Amino acid sequence: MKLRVFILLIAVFVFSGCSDKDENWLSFVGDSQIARWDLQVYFPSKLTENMGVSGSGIEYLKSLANSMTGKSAVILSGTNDLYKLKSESDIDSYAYEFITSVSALNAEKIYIYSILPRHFNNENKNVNKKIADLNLHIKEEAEKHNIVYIDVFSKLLKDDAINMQYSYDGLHLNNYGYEIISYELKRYLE
Amino acid sequence: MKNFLIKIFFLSSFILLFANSIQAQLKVGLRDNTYAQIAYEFKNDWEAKLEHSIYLEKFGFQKVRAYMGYNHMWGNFKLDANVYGSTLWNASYQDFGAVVTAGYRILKPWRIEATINPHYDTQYGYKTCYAASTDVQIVEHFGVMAQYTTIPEYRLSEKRVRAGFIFSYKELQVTPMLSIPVGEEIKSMRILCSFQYKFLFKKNKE
Repeated sequence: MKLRVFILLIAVFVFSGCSDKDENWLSFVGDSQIARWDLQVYFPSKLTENMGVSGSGIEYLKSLANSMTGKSAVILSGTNDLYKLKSESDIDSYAYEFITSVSALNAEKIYIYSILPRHFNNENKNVNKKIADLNLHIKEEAEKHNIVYIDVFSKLLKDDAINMQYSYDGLHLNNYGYEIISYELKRYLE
Repeated sequence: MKNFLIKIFFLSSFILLFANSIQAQLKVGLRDNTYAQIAYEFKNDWEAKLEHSIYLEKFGFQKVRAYMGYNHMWGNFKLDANVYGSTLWNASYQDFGAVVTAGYRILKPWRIEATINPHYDTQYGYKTCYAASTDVQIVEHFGVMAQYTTIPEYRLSEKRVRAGFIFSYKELQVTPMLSIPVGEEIKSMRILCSFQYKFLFKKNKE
């Protein structure tokens, strides 16, 4: 008797909250920062796919054109292309090309992270001024295309470089860093 | 809010239902760092279990799962069958399934197991997951285990190899392990720990 009552309780309990809400897949696209991100740990209740490719940049984004129909896309990319940007006009045209490539993914909703600050192999801290400038251009272009821009650059910056509490090598995030960027994205997802 | 209250009501019912008959075995524990468990075993072979997630999420995104299971040993052969249903507190999705494990003790310290897990997620759809595992008891309180699994550690199925140690002392068992991805698409290794403590309230038949 108790067994029957228990099974009945379980069935009612589970079905009491049944929902037919159809949630989009979240496709995370970008470089090694994405590839190393344990998405199931930070987004355990979401349908996520990790499309990160270490060392990738804008060419990878272009190769994914029209592949995200019906999905939401989360983009974290750009740091591997910094060496190409020598002048202000390079930065301006890169930001335009970057957002055009992201728009071409054809995702239902797009969230784009700012490029993260860095201090890799003791490189010159001036690189972060270039990143800040590029982020500004990317933000402006994103707003024109109705893309959600998520600023994590300022949250990870300390003394003109990446805060080493959040990175283990000056480029890649550690778990504390991933906690911060996950939190910032969740603010928009919820 | 209505869903939340309904769930509170049925969770309370679950506890009250068994509160007057807690005489056999009560188990508490943690699975894979992430799921707190409480289980009640009755009539030696039947078990009811509740599991609650400890995700890095707000409460509404936490998952609660209820299991009902049967397990029995015939000599060296063991069968463990459970059905389950779970939901997030905010009811954004549910999942249902069964976990059936058949185990065989080849030698006294060496055991092999195979598990099949038909699993349905109301958003993701259906997937048949499985696992194959083995464990060897090295000395009285210490053993090692290895497993190949596609059973989700979180929500989605991943191909993983898990290897770890089994420490046991009286009614406590602790299993720290490494979970290593073997699919090309996943790169994250996880350090996981499970433990279980059994409270015995009366002697079992065996």
